[in-house]
Amino acid sequence: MIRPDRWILGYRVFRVPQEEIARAATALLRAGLSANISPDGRFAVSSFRVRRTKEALGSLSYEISPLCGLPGFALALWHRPGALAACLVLLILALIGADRVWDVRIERDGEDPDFSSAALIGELESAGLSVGARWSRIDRDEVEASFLSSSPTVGWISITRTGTVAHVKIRKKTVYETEERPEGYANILAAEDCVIEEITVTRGYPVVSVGDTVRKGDLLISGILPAEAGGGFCRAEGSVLGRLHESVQANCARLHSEKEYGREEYRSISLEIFNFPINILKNSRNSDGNCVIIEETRVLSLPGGANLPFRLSLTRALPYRLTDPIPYSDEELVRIASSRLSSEVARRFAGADLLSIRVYGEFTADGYTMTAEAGILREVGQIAELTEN
Amino acid sequence: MTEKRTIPHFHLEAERQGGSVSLSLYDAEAVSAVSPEWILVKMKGGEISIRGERLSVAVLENRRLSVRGMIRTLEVLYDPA
Repeated sequence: MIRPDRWILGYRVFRVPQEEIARAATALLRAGLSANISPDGRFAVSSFRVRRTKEALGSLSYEISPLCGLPGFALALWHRPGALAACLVLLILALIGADRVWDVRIERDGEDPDFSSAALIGELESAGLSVGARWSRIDRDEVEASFLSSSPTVGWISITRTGTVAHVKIRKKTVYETEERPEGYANILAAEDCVIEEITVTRGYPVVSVGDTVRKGDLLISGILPAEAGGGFCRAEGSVLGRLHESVQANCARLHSEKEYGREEYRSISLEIFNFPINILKNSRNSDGNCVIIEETRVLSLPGGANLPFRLSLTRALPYRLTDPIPYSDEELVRIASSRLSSEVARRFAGADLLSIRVYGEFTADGYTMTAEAGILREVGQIAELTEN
Repeated sequence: MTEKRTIPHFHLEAERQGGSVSLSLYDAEAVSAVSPEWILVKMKGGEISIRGERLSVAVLENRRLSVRGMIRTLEVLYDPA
């Protein structure tokens, strides 16, 4: 391997016959010169030590190469105007390319759907940092300040440059919410028919007790204090848990239609270079019947993970038609209804304690009906504002 | 695990480099023979014979010689004179 200083200052490669390697090494050793001699007798010497090496080798037979490294390259180019021009063009392109932002990488805490990379990149673009922007025209402090003032979710940002890649470190804004106590007077009423299982009063006067059966709209905690409690009005606060029964039903029709997909076709193809879209194909033909539109964006990436500022956007249409109604078998009907019922039960009774559940099903003229009757424990109190009347 | 041994009248240092060994010989006087399988170096106290595979020699400053490659055997030949 050639040392970097030799590449820059130039070097020549000496070659001695294999049988002369020992004599050449001895000569160099005695002259105080250093060389890494390969098994075939070649060694590189810095251009400013060539004369001393030649003197040291003396009468030994050897071959010497033309000047190598950058000076040798420059010398070779000097006699080839075309290659010199090509190198200059490449150099200019490299300089222009180096002044562009080729990729924006965001580093943030965890995965938060409200804090997605796509949204952050959009906000960064509004602040002036985007793929394709010129580094020389980006004031990072200004971008950071603009981003912070416009973003409702970000509390801290740092933009650093590594080559042509912008590394953006972001921390989410911590919002310390102060609890606001609602004003005015209010009662707590029953939201559903139930049996009271537990009642906790933070403020107000309890009207019912555990074991009482109440109907929807009955008063549970009063905001009007009796005389023995000091009298007056207040905003009733507390928690009332009630036991209630609810039933959930899921149906599945015996006949259903399926989608039969046809051959997909490209609707549009566009190439985006530094945010400049170039439309390659646009097919505005209407398709018969229904179709699914698939939009796909392909980003060209380098092996290191950096994205090139080129994107290929494809839009495809996948036509389909609905088949004639097909009947489900009995087993399929029960399985589908069961699946629907379990998801409905999970949705309806979220946040409630399930005390008991009874499930049954029956075949109907149209298909299958499955019912779940459940006893649950749930918060049943709801605030009702007191009016002057 | 490395093992350090002292050989009187000779200054040698060995260092592992990947799958091969780089052997540094200090105060070398001359290189008597070089081939990919055998290198013979004349030192002040005698001669060093190195046998192995894909051997190459590098001449460094201060009369230091470096032998690289798959070194199998190292023989120290004392010169009684």
